[in-house]
Amino acid sequence: MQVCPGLMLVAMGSGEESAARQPVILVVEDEIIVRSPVAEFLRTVGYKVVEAANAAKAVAVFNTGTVIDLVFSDVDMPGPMDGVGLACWISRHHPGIHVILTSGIHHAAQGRGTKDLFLPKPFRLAEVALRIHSLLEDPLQEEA
Amino acid sequence: MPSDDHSPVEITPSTILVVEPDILVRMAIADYLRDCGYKVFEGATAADVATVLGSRQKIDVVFAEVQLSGGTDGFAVAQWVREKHPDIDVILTSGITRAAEKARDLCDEGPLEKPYRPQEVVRRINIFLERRRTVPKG
Repeated sequence: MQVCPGLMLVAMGSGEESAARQPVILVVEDEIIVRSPVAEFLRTVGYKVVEAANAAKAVAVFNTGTVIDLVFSDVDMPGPMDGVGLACWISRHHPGIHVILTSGIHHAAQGRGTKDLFLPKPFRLAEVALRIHSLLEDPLQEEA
Repeated sequence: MPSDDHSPVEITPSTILVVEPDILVRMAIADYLRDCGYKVFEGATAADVATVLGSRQKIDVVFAEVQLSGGTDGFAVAQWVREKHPDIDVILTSGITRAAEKARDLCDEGPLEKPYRPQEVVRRINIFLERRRTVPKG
């Protein structure tokens, strides 16, 4: 896995910023061979990462009250709720949280009318981190 | 020629594969192990173990729950790892007493009964890692 030192500086920010709470990213992906490198890379560039293997587990994490800053989720996962369903659930229950969806099927999550972003597979790890960084800089407003 | 006395020594952290279907339990122990300096991979199923060990990723210790979803439980995982990857140590854990007793046959130190203290997990891991440093498996 390639680690980009420049990216690490971007994600960690200044010394003052890095003293603040580490942003928490929830990575939802059923394929461990995909999930682990993404999670590991995000940890390397300074995020705290929670890993879930499906949407139900992701919802379970939210239900414990764990603070999540952003969700990076695959669309195509086994179980009654896919990534789009998870994004809708988050939009309803945690409207202040950005969701980035990813899929090898390009049409899967596009044009659903949610405020999710979509990153097609295959993606570069650096691209994931840059998207996350950019979204965290532009927080959504909690709806009333 | 003494050449490397002052060259930096690269220390590679030991890598633990935590296999636990309950995400809340897995999160807690995985975070603790990372805080202790280990590199940690998180799996939820027996298939995850096969996938990770089949990749190029070096794993030192598998810490697995006995009760896994699907047709393969932690016992089978431990046996498979012993057979296919004898250089990797396995620690089994379970909240079910009978399962924990059965795991005794597959664990050198006996099974780790739930609820476990994370410090105890680290102690077990360190025993294996230390043993590997001193007595090569063969």
